[in-house]
Amino acid sequence: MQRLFGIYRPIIVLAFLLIPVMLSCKLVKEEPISEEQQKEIARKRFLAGEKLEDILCEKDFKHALSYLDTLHAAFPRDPQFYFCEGWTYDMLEDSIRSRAAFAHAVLIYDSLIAAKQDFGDMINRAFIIQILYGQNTYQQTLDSMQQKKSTPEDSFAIKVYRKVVYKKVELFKLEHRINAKKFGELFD
Amino acid sequence: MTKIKIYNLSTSSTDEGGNEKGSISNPFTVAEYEALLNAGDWKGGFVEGLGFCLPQVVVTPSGASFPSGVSYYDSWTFSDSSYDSWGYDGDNGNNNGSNTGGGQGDNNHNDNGDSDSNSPYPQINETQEGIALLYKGTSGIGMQSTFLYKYTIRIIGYTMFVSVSVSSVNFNSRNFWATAVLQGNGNKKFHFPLSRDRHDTLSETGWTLVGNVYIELPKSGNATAWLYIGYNHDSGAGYVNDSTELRIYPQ
Repeated sequence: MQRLFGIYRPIIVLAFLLIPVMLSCKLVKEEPISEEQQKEIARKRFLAGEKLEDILCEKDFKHALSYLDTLHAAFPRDPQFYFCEGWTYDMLEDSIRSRAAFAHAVLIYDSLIAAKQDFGDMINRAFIIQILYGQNTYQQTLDSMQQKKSTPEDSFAIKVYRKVVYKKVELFKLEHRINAKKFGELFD
Repeated sequence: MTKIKIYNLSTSSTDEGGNEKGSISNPFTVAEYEALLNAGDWKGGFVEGLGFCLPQVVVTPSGASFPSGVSYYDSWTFSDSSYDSWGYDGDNGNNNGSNTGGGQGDNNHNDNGDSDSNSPYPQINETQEGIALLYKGTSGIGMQSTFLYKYTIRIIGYTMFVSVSVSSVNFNSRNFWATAVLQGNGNKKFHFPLSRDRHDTLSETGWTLVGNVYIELPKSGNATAWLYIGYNHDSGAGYVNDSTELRIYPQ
């Protein structure tokens, strides 16, 4: 019996080691998220974006950075929050941190676009390319998009975006946000 | 051929000071405004908190002065071109602007009136184009909040015409709006929402007409006008909006 145990000992030990791993793998393979849960996540993401915009429009950069930390933890694959971090550091004249955050946003966009070619993602990525590498590279990025996209709507949109020039002070203006709410309500 | 719905003044009332209902000094409440609007009896006038709200009068211009095929609201319909609907902006600052937004008469916007030659306003007809650089934190929008705008400002005599169109570049589920805001001599600002009807068209590809409006300028010659262009959008997770502000007069 002891001999038998000795022979199978490595197998038994291996089995004990593997069981928790197998269980954890099973845990990772979670069941698909229900529609209700998806709505809840979308709602949380929406509210997070609104709150962040409020903070950015108030130019409360210290608060923005601490809030962005929590958002990165909650939504680690959301490139827009890294864009907002890049913009915040840009406003604080911290170009090293700003570029790092923008570059991180591009990386996320790359993986998202690789999985699904979404025009909005591509435009948002191209805009960050402009911030990081300048107008020439931005135009080349749009050229590349133009070659991939063939619908007249996309072509027209690309033509329009060619005119867009990044000016950090133009983004997240408090008066734009206030007026949008004030006047927008009249048209609901 | 100009088609005009004639106003009916018989429903107008005055307050104790003799100020006509709907004037700057005797504005409608929002509840009154909504009730009249729902009943189809709204004839224009000042509303608390909203400024001047336009009467629902649709006019098809017949003159060469205004663009053909564009309908517009007539906010001030007095045929007497010497009347200043901005009378409250007078030298003494008193509010004597009764009868604003009401009355009946022709809809010539003073564009043929004798007083036009004396208009202190530069008779301009300009179209400006620009980009509203906007970023929304809402998931999936980001830089797509940005849009192109084009506005035309035209002053003929004492009448200012404003028209706005936008190019929403691949993000078509937005409801665009535009509001002109005018300030005379006083501090108070008046809102003139731009609107269009189903007959309004703009042939230029890629552009969508948001609306247009005619505004009678104060006789004093002092006016500052801004234009607010924005959109409302249902993202699915919540409503978002954004806007841009432009000073359109004086430029």
